[in-house]
Amino acid sequence: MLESEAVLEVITPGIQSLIQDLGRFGFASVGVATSGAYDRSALMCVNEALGNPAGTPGIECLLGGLELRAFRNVKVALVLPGQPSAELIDLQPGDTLTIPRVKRGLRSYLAIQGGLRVDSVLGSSSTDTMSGLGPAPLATGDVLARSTTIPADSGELADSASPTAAAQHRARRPSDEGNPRSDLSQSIDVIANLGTTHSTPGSVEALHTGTWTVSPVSSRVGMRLTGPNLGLAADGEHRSQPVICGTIQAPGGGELIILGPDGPTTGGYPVVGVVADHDLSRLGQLRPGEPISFTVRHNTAVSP
Amino acid sequence: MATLDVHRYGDTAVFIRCEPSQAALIAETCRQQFPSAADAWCGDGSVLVQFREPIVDAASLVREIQQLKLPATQVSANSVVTLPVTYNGPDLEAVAQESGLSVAEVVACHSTAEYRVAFCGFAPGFAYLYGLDPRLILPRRASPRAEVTAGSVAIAAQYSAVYPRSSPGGWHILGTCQSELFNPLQARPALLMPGLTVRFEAK
Repeated sequence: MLESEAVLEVITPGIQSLIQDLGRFGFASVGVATSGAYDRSALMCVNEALGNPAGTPGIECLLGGLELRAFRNVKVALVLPGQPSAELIDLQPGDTLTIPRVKRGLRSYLAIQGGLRVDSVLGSSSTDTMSGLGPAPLATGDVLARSTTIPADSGELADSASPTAAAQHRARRPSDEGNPRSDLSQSIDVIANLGTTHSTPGSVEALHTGTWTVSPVSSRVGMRLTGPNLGLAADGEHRSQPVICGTIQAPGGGELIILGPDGPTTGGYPVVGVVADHDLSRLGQLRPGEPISFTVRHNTAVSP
Repeated sequence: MATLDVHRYGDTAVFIRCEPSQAALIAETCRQQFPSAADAWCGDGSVLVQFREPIVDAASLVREIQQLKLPATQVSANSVVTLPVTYNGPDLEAVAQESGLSVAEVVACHSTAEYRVAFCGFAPGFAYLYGLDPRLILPRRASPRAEVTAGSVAIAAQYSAVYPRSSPGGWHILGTCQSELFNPLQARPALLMPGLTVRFEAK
């Protein structure tokens, strides 16, 4: 039996603060998106810093501005966009914590030691902004509870012992090892999959060399990009095919759509590539107005 | 049996191109045969098998899926879902006009056909149904509605569908169905799953 205790109150949620874990799997066949943290490496980072299982639900805060007040002693971990490590913060009753407005990147992640206690829907506590599944976005006055026992099904276990001395201060993001993932300006690795997409050698070349701009009409459902035309034949309607987070669609003109975690499970636009798994987290940090370019790789060139 | 047409898709998934009538069965079989897969689901003549991590030995996986033995029939194929429909939709007249049928003929065409869930998408529980009478095949409405109410029974192109919840939509609305199509609190949340047979019954 799970026990829980109220630990934090939401004073103001900022633009958008959502509960997210590592996603809702197994129901795509009936149209349910995976959802989950957009920057998965950041959520895993804050959980690891606290000794929580990697998939423990945390808060994904868009652009900052979330303000919380503690009811009791609680240890939290925070990682701002692009930061290589989490900051551990001890809150006393009455203390407030504000996630700062971020000047680069988009999404900050906050976890609490023991994990947020949130009802799960179809195996996940994630908020799906498209379908409305999962908890409502955080609102002023919401009370956040902490699990006093860790649910067994909340994901792969991190080191279950209490955090080591090093982790108390700095927990490196898992994806940082040997690779500067935190550099938000790098190009995004894409796998073109000529056999399964509508790509042509010309469109692959155009995708590899062009630069696009992230449109303001972007969300967890999909990121719209404007830029050069890929030169694909406009041959009308396409049959709906299954799609995943990171699928790059070319609806026409110079526009591209990269599907996000709350995106649809099937789609009819031509597909020109799929973002490599290791770059999905960085996608979640790209701001409207910023340039984005792609490095097209073939599967054999992508190390696991 | 011919081998399946299998390709890699990104670095975490495998894409299978197939006969539309086989897609639901292939997805179901993949879910059973590859328990390490996060999920497998179908579109219109295609299936995706997704893993939570990048696939390490993709060549072997592709070979294994190429050789996949499909059961003769889908477990769910014998299940029939009957949906009672009140044919009172705002587009009945327009559909009758465009198809050259009377309203009564449109209702008869739609409610006597036998449908099969081809795939889902758009929203949780939204099922694209094959089997529409060819006389009712029309392009989507020129301007989509900002809100189509939950339970609306609609047609567009070669498909019919029931909107599980209110949402924007560009399909032609023929009627209303009171059945609960999606309940996230159930272990099997969707009433209409790929492969199921569906009939509409005029109330």
